[in-house]
Amino acid sequence: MGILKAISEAVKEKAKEEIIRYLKKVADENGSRPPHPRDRQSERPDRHAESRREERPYPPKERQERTDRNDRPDRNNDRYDRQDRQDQTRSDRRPDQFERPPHRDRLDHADRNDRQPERSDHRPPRTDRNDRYDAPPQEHRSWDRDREREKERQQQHHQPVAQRPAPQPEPRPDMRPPAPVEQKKAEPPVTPPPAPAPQPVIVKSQPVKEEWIAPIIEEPIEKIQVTVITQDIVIPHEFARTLQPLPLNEYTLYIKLLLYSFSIHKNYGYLGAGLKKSVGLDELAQDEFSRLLDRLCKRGLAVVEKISEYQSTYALYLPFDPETMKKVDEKKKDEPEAEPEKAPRAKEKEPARPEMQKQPDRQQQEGRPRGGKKEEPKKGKDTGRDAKKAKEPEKKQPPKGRGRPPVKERPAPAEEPVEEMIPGRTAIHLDDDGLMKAYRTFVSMEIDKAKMRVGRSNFDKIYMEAVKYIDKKHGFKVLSDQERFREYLTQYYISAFDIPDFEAWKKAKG
Amino acid sequence: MDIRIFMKSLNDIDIKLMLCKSNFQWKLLAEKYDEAERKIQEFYGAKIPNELTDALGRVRLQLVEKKGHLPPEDILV
Repeated sequence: MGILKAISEAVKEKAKEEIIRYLKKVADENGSRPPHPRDRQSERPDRHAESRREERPYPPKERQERTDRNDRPDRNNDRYDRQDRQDQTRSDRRPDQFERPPHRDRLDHADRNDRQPERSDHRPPRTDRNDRYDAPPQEHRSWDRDREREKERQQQHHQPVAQRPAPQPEPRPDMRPPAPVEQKKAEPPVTPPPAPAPQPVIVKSQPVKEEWIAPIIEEPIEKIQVTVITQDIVIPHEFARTLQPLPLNEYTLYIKLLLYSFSIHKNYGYLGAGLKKSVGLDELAQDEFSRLLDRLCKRGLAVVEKISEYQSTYALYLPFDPETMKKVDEKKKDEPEAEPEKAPRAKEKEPARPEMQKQPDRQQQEGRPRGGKKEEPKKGKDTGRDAKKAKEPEKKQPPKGRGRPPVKERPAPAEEPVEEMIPGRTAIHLDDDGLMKAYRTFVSMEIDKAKMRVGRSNFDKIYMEAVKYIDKKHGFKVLSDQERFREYLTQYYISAFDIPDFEAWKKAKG
Repeated sequence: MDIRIFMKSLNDIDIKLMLCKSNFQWKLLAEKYDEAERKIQEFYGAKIPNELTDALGRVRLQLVEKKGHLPPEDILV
């Protein structure tokens, strides 16, 4: 009996050594790869199992007896056999159809991920993970726990490597817990300078400095009507020398305006394309024309007055030569209401009026109206139709007031006093011709008002109807005759817009 | 043949009227129309063919309408 026991002990020891050797060999083959939990389980020195193994004899007595008794082993009831099978390595075990499938794939997959952390290190760090949910559920993964324990054991025994700090999950910026208030108070809030936002490039327009232009004429400009005795345009020598330093454009404009003023026998009028065309500067841009006129104003050679939103008048400095020119002015005593319309510069120079302004007063005192004037100031129609006029070359230089047919009962044209038709000035003490001119102005203004009242499109329709009416009533040839057409057109407008006729207007005026 | 000549002159006026942009051009066309009408009346006398009468009326109507579409001429004042 003692021999048998000794033999069994020896066999046991030998088997144990072989198993250990085999396990080491397998471990070496696997390299750094830790063994499978199952293998580990078998590899791990299980003290309880050992003690069980040590306690129980091998082969157990019952089995020996059973084998002796019956050669068929009762596997189902043989727990020792099962335990032995578990202790065997996988390579020793034969596949058993009654065993549960090992689920190697799932485990391998999980182990592969777990065992090769360096492989996952190549991946970019996740920034979108939620640590709360992404953390490995260690309490459910016993094999991981075992493996860690084993690692620790190995590190303690073999290589005391400096412990690597546990990788702290990088907190997400949005999940960062708020700093305590004390810390916030202690540390001044260091806010990094904000990145320079692309500021929209704003090109600041430099305020255009008004060019100061030295005036060459200090005298105030008075709106006058003149007649030239000799029919020659005379420019005083001194004034011509004064004009000489002017730039070409301004010089040209002034001379053209001067000649035009002589042609219309007055130094004022309405501003607009009609004027530009009349002075022969039709090709000049309106802006340039306005700029040049403005410069002339600064030089004291002209004055521009805005009489309404859309209408402006100008007055040109006219060198008056008493020998060759005569002033025709109907300045009234009750002019203070018209004076505010004058340019402020003219008002400033009021006390130092030259003889140019004194003469009209003298003429007023004489009360003698000058004859030979047929000039009529163009009223609102001019500015309203300047653009349209510009398209009509046939009306290039319409002599103002000449050849125009009367509206209804026009008195015979004769040497009659000329009325100053500046807007805002009332004309009283006029004879019939003067009244007629005033009536024409009145009609013109009424038509302008009606035009604004009915609107442009409606006014065009009315014009169309007027043309058809004139064609029907007066014949087609009237449409080609400009003067007659104008006359009939005015009559049509007077009827269409209920403008009082001359007699009614005269009575109303008193 | 004569009708064709007169009709062509009237049609020319009709076509040029479409390109007319100013009262000055309109006036030239109106003068052409007057000339054509005068010639037709001289040639046919009182027996103007209906075709020409219609054409004359049509061109005249178009001339009048064109005049109405053009910028209004200055009124008397």
